[in-house]
Amino acid sequence: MTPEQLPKVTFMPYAVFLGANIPLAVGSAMADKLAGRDSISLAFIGEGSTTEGDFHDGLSFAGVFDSPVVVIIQNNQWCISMPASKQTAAETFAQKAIAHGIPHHRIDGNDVFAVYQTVKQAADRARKGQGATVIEAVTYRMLDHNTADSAEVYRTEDEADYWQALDPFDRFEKYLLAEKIIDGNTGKKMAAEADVWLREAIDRGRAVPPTHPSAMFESHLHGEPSWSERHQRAELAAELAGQNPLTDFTGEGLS
Amino acid sequence: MSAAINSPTEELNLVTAVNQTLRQELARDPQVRVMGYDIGPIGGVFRATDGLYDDFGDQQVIDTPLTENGLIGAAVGMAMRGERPVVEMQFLGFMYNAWGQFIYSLANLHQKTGGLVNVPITIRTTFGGGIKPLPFHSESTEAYLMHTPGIRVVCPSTPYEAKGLLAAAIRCDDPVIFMEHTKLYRAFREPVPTQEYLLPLDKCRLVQPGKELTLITWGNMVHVSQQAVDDLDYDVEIIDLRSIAPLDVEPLLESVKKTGRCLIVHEARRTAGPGAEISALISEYAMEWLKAPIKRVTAFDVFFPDNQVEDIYLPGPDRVKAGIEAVMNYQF
Repeated sequence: MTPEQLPKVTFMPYAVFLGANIPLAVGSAMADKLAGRDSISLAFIGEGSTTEGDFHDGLSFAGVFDSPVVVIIQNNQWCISMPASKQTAAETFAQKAIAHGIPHHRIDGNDVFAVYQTVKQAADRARKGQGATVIEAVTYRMLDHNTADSAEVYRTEDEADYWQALDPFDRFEKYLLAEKIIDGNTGKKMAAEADVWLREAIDRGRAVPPTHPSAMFESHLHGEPSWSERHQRAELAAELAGQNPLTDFTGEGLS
Repeated sequence: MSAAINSPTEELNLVTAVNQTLRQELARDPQVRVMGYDIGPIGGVFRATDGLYDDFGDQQVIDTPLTENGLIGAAVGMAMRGERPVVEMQFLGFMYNAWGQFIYSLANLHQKTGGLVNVPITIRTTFGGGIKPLPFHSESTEAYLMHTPGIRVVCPSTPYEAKGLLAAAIRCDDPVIFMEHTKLYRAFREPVPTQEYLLPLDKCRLVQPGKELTLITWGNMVHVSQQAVDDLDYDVEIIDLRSIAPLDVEPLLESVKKTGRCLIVHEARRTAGPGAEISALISEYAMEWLKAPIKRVTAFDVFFPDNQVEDIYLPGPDRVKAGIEAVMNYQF
């Protein structure tokens, strides 16, 4: 696939606290609607983020303003060590949308077709000016949350085995083989291709020059840098040059 | 654009100056979106947005659901896509509910995107005590704001200042918290140019020059301090900070080096309040010039108290006079 063939998508850097994405996506959608553009906004969160106030703050706006936004809850059933049952006593996460007057769907997140069809319908609805949709895609976090996590402490191997058998990749491949859309080698060939892309991406990442320490001062405010910024930049430069950065007692700069 | 010296003027109070500036900016730029709750047909609880809904409609003057966090988050989302939201945060004390979006999104996004995304949002908020309202309607917690990088915090002390600073805030590509003192809204009128003009967002204002003591203040305390200074016979230099963040440090140091004395007057609580930072800067960079210790005249380290005692909690002219006398009479 060439860059020209890719769908026209603008990504925002995700908020570390994923729930914070929701009000931003809703604001982005409000802007599209105000400007009469036909673009829509998608926000991706986990089931845990639906507990955050941000989720409801954003959906309050999305419902009231009929914003062209689709909120996709990837319910992978674990927030680090916290099971979904510790996030809500409600039967589903999708039904939280009811309180905001927003249509909701709960789907098999490991079924490629179900995900495609539901998101497509929600996106079309948003484009037609019919407002927001919330989709809960039920799936499973197969690996540890991160390298500091130890999933074996709080969940059973049986659970992971059960979900391993429902792997969306395997299911999709099985379907494509049965329909003779691909042959037995296609999967391996594509995996090898993906491996090359991945390695190239890693090389590109490694080739990015290291961040200069003074870059931490960039992109805070526009216009003339403040006295404090100038002063602190000079302090850091002196420190990096092996000088004592704290010798200014007159505010007139480092001696 | 200078201060529109040749423009005809009109006698305006501060809230009307704010209203006229919003009107001017809404008409100038269709991407200016005034947002908040109770800002539409009712025109804001202080009537700062009076008449704007009727004249600019619900696409530019947007009444929103009652969630401060949602309000700031949605405004940031809109700003990411080229809009220029002007948010009304009804009271500074309501903003605690918005701390997440305030820090994670509003203040951080420009830096997080390496400068690719601008967040040209102005958050107008009322602050300060003296009108005896409900709890959390009189907060002066600008210290929470000035500890946050990536934002500007601006405070007008007169109607003229309000118009020039608000227009500049709205046109600025940074997030600006614009602090309007409730007691100043209808306190007095002064001539305000009818033409548009901009005032610098990062420069303090010399209210009156003096040789014996530097008095640093902002908001309503500019007027309280002026009253105190007028009652005494000292040659006091009054500086209106105007920009709480970033601080315009050089003129403060220059002034203290000239006078050798410094009094900081704010209605915020004392501990780790704005005065603590200003005092630290002066003692760090102008110690050799000081003829007396720096003194802070502030409110006390308690929650804003019961209406009946709020005038005792807030610094008044007498407390400021006591501060001036104490510093002027100090001998090392």
